[in-house]
Amino acid sequence: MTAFRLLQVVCISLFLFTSLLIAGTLDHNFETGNDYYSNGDYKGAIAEYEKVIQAGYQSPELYYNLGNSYFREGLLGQAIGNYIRAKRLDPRDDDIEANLSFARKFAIDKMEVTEETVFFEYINRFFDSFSLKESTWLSGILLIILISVIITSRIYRRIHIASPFLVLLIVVFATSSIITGVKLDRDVLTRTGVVIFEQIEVQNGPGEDYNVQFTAHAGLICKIEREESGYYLVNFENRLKGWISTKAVSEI
Amino acid sequence: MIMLFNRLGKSVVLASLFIAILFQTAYANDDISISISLDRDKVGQEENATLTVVVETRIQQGLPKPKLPPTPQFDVYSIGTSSQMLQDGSGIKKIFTYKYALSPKKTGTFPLRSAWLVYNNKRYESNHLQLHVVKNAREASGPLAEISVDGKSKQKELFLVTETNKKTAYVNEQVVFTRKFFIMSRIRAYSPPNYWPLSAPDFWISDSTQEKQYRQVINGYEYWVREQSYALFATKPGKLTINSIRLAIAVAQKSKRHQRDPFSLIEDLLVEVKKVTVKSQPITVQVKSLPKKGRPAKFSGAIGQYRLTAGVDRTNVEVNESITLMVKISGTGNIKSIPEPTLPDMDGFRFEKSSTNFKQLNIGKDLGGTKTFEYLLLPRISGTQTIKPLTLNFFDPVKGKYRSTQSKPIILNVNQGELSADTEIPYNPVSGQTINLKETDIRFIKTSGSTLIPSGSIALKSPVFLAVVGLPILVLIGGFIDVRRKRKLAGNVAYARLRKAKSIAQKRLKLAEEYLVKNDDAFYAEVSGVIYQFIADKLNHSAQGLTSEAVDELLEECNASVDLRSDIKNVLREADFGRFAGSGEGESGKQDLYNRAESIISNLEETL
Repeated sequence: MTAFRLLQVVCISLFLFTSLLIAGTLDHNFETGNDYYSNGDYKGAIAEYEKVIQAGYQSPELYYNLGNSYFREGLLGQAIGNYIRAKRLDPRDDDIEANLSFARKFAIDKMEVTEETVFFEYINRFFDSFSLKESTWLSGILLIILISVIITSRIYRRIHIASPFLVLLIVVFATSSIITGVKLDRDVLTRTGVVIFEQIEVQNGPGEDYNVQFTAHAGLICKIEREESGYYLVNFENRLKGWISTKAVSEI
Repeated sequence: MIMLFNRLGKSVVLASLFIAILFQTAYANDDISISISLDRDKVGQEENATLTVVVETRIQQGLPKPKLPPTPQFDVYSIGTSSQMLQDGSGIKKIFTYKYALSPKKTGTFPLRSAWLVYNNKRYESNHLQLHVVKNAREASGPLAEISVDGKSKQKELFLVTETNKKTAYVNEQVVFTRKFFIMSRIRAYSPPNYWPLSAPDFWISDSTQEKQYRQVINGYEYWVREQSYALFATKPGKLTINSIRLAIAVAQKSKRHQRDPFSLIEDLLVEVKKVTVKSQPITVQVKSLPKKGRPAKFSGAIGQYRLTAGVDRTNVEVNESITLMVKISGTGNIKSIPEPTLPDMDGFRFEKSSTNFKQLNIGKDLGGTKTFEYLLLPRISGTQTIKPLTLNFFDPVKGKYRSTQSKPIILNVNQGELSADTEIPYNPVSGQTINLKETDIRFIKTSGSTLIPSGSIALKSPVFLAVVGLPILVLIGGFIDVRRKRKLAGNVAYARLRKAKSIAQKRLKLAEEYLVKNDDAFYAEVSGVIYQFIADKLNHSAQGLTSEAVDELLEECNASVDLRSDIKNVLREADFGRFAGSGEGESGKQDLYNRAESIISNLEETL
């Protein structure tokens, strides 16, 4: 074995060992956080869960538990933000949905949202039932199946391009790709935030000198369009726009 | 002469540039410069002069607003601020402009001392000015043709009228103040009227109503009228004054000097615009104190005519289930300042005030509206619960006595339900939202099954996903390329033969080698065959019937070298000889022939 090959083996072994060690430590943080929560020490739980997040790791359970801890501490904005993060990773989890709905009832602000038609409401609900990871893999697998079918059809010439099976496959693949695109837009490309201050003034410009449009309260969700001079230009659910201090908003 | 002008011109340009640079440098050294100017040097007592303060600076932030000099002879109103940024050779320059209206209090000539500001402990001052205030506005501004009409009629062309709906009122009773601005319909206005704020220090002034516009004929003259009303509420008893109000408007000024001029028609089109100011008379209102006789113990100061109602969103509830109690006060008067009604004893309930809504309405000329107070109630005891009547005591100025309005009692059926009265709710829900407490609390944390994944990782970027999805895509692309290639080969014989020539030649050479090893005479046929076949395939020619002479001609057309052609001829001749005359050269001769044939194929591949 050459010296270079030996060095490679040592590096890989060290990397695997370190990764296992980090994973073990982070699992320990998660479990310690759970213990703190069970004993009513919500601040301690938050500290442990946040350590895992700061290490660059996440899971729906982690965000869910963190959301619970913030809720118990009375920090509604942070609680809602973490429930939304958890829901993105595991959109069909009943507990996450229940706690998010429950927490949102305590948000003071209620935006008047344009009512959607039943069709679009159904479509939205359908889109929301997949996580980005799921829809991406589903699209990938469907693409592989589609390619395999096309290649097979070329070899055996038994499947025609207009056969119902192939058409169905193409439709399902297209739907899955659209879901992936929408999820990618909503979860990754669009910056979303939640108000974490108990109350904060929404102004019509990026600075204290501008007029106050209204007062937003913790738990209000907004889309972040851009940042300027320590202020976010945000777009609320009712399409109202305004400038809000970056300190008052946690990006989800 | 031309030369002289050119030189002179260049000198002037250079001198101008030098002066400009000199000025700019001098200016750049000044961080802040401040100057004041007036729009006129003479003003009528009923008019306003505009004072403009300009601050030029290269300081980007933190510059204070300039202070005005003391002007006891004028009332000063701010009428606007603007800022501008300019990029010049020395960087960015900011220009702040502050405009003030100076309303004279008396006639005379008054100095306007410098405006100033202090920055970094250094005081910066502006220039001085002087303003003459004369009694008659015309004297100050010159003739205004459309204001003075024809000099014969005494009919005013624009004027302001103010009035109140009553001359005596109680403290906090509504007094409707109406302002009407009349402008003759033939007067051309070039701006909407700009009103000074209504000044009535002893009154609480409500929001104004929407401005109404209509036409009215007075003494045979048609006027446009702009009418707006305010509800005023006196804050103390006594003889209280509503100060005169002013407005400024830009109207057309026509000169009569050139009326006989045949070009006066054109001048009529090019009218000058003049800003005029109109002032109303002050109004006095006699305000009385509220009578002490009959004043209820729980009188909160509401004056007007009101009605109080109360209701809940539903009457069948469960313990700890939230319901909304809405208390509505409507009527005429200062409804905005109506205090929150005192709630009766609410022993069986937990309650939170959630919101107050106010809606203002014009009820005839009077101002009124509705004020709604919402409370969130959580019944704590099951059974029939009663919300006792709520009462509002107020003074009715029309009847001149104290009155009260009362809501009806509300009876609730409270069921025990699933929630006990001891259930703790972590927050006090607010904002009057109907909260459906199906869940009594958040669900417990998840203690297992957490698989941590790196944050921000998306499947689309993961190498595994890209490999899994990318491989079939590559296979598909490869397949398509292969199909295209095969189709091209099938459709173009010449191209197909050209592409396959080398592989066929290699196969045949291999076969020839086998014959060589076996010492088979078929070797010669194969050697000559491979050369004929290769040339025929390359040139899309039939291999059948090719002779060494024909091959030589074909190669000559393709500009093959003489040596190569000669070599081919020799090999073909030797191969033919061996084929027809039998083996005579031995194994080494065959090997040499084979090597030469191989070399020929290689050379032909480069040549053809």
